[in-house]
Amino acid sequence: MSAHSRRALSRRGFLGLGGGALLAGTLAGCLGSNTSGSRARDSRVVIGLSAAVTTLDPMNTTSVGTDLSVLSSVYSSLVTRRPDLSIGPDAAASWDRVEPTRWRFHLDERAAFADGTPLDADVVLWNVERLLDADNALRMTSNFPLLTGAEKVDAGTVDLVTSEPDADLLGALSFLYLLSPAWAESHTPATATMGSGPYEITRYSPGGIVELRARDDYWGTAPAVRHVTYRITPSEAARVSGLLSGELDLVAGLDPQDLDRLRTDRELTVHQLDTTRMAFIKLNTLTGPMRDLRVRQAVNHAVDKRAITESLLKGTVEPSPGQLLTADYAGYADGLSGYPYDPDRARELLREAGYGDGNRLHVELTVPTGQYVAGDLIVQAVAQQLSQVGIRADINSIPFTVYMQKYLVDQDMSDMQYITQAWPTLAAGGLYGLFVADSPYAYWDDAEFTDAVTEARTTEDTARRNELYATAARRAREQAPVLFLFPQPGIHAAAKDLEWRARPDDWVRPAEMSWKGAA
Amino acid sequence: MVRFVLRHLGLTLVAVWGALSAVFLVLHSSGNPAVMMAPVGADEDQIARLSHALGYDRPLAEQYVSFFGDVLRGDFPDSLTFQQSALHVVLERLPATLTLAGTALLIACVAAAAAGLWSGSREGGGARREWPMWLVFLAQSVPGFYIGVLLVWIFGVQLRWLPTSGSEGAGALLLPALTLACGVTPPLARVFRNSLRGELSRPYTRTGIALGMSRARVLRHAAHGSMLPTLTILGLEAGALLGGTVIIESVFSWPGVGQLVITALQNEDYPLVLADLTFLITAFVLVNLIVDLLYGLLDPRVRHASERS
Repeated sequence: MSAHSRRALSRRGFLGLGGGALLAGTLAGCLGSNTSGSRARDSRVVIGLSAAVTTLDPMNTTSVGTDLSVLSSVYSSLVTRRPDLSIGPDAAASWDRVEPTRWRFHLDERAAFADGTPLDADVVLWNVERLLDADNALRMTSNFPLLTGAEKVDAGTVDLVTSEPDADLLGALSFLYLLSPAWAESHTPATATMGSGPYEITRYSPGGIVELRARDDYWGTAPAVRHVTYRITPSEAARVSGLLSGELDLVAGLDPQDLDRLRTDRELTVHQLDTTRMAFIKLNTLTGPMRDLRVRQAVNHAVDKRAITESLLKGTVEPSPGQLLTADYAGYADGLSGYPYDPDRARELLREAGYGDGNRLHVELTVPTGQYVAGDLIVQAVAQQLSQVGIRADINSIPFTVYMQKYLVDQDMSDMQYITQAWPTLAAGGLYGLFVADSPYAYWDDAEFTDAVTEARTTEDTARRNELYATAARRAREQAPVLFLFPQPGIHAAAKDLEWRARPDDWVRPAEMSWKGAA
Repeated sequence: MVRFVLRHLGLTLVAVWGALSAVFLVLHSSGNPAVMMAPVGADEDQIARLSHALGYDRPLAEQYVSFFGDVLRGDFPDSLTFQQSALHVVLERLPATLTLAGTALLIACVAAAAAGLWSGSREGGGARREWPMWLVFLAQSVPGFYIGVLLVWIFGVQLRWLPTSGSEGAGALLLPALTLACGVTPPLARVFRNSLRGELSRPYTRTGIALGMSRARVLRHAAHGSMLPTLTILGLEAGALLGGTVIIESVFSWPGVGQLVITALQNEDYPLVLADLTFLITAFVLVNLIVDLLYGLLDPRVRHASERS
């Protein structure tokens, strides 16, 4: 044995080694730390993402909060949804509807890819072909059910053609990011990027860090933030600690349970708003006790929605006024009110439906484990309140896959299930489409609702369309195919000096941010 | 020796195949990933098309045969979410996990040796002798994820000495490695302390002391004698260490294979789950193989016994 290893066996040696490692690591950590103040001077932002950016192919992902938010900085779409949720120009400077089923887009003459090739009509044609080719099995394709193809008018003008009038097309197009055909020939879009957007990716490891740098030769308005680092922090605790320690400048989609801690930190601004995702408990109106309207109305009266929003969701959202849509949807109808919390009325309705002391109503309430913000807690609160009016609700907590398999494929939904639903293009017809009779999502066969929605979807006249959607909303309120709850809260926290408007539709775009006081 | 290694390698393959088959069957009977991948509003036709394109509409037996055929050719199916070879994604994450597990193991060995030597070699009793074991006992009683969150709160949020998460720089490695080591150190320290005490009460120690050997020299012999049982525990704990990375990597956003398997499970990315587990299972079995081999090196009796049989 050498003298060196003999020493290593001594007690003091061991302790010294351990202490040395600790010290070295600590010093390294000190040198590596950074503050939002110095980042503001460098025009740099560090964003914590809840999930990895798994693919760089913008047509093969539908995750708005992660993949698409990053890719929207790198690629352009024809049109874009602005922070106020209106549709604005991007690669297309203007557009008009030349026929009910034909939209004409005039491309911005300046629009070009990072390698200098222009973004012209041929580029749009190629991208629409790629999207619609069933062999490509792209995940974005099902957002365009009515799109049949694109036609070139001239180099800077292109027509998109739909099989039926499609009021939803512009909203969908804000999700369609355009690749360069020549570049895509020789590169794999899943693992590399070359776009026409304001930023370029300078570093990407799947699941690890993603870094962006603002392009100097970007054809549009130059973004204020010049460098962006995305850190993948899957655990909520890590996101909160990252914010509190100043390592992260912005995290979107936080848990209401962490609000108190975040609000008391003077270095942070907390943004809270209703998302476009509605939470409710879906009722299976096709089989079992929920076929009876009185039972559906009884459960709506039995649950104190406000108590849940105040306690579990820390007052971040208001109970829904008996609506399936949130107020941000095109076609949202004002003037409805939710079912008031009235346990006596609930008991009365249950008695009328034939339930009582001798014949207690027994239902199954399913929730997917860990899938939705505070889902498990909300379901427990609901079950507890249902028991107050004499309904025994057995909670069945199952993995999301099994839940989706039962719900969608096997068509075997339980009596009640907790779910949140949104429609990315913010069209009433889209989200209502999940409730029309022939949809596998519906579990509700209602002719009046289905007719109103079906007619509205192809109605050109906005006033008439909104009237039809209002009819649908009233019908849903009255027939209660769900236990109405509340919009899912959007809780975002950012460094105090970072100017950013939180959006209800999950997009987090560095181009919409700037540091206060920075030039 | 060669036959010993070959037999163990053969068993390794059987163990990996068995474990993978079990995971494959459980995964594929729990649902169809196409249902999850299709965007909201997709109708049955669209789901069926996606399912067909991904091959999930084939009979389970056919999927099983084709999966293992691919694996045997070293050609893992593509990850559904990353859209590239699942094996490639796992291998890319591998260095991060090896660095973390290796550092944790090093910390654990050093800490266990220190605690074991202190408590095992002291005469008398009471707090002065036993305090390192109390510390170790405390570390074992508290769940790893809790220790992790606590360390982050103290060193990351309050003191701001170390980053709260991520993998940039040596500072980021320290907290997750310490946390991971907390779970592994206690059994190591306890076994080492007990065997050391046992060795110190054996006749050869007394003889050594009687002959006037220095205390350090006596301790060295006793420590060498205590290695064998400690190594057995080390082998077992190395497995636990790999399991621990799954949780600790998620707590600290450490981009390794442990965090990857959680993400893959959440996304129903079956090919990625299988590729990731192939690695984890193989690593577990291999570590135990190495420990078996080290036995032979450390204790001539084991070596001779296996040569005779």
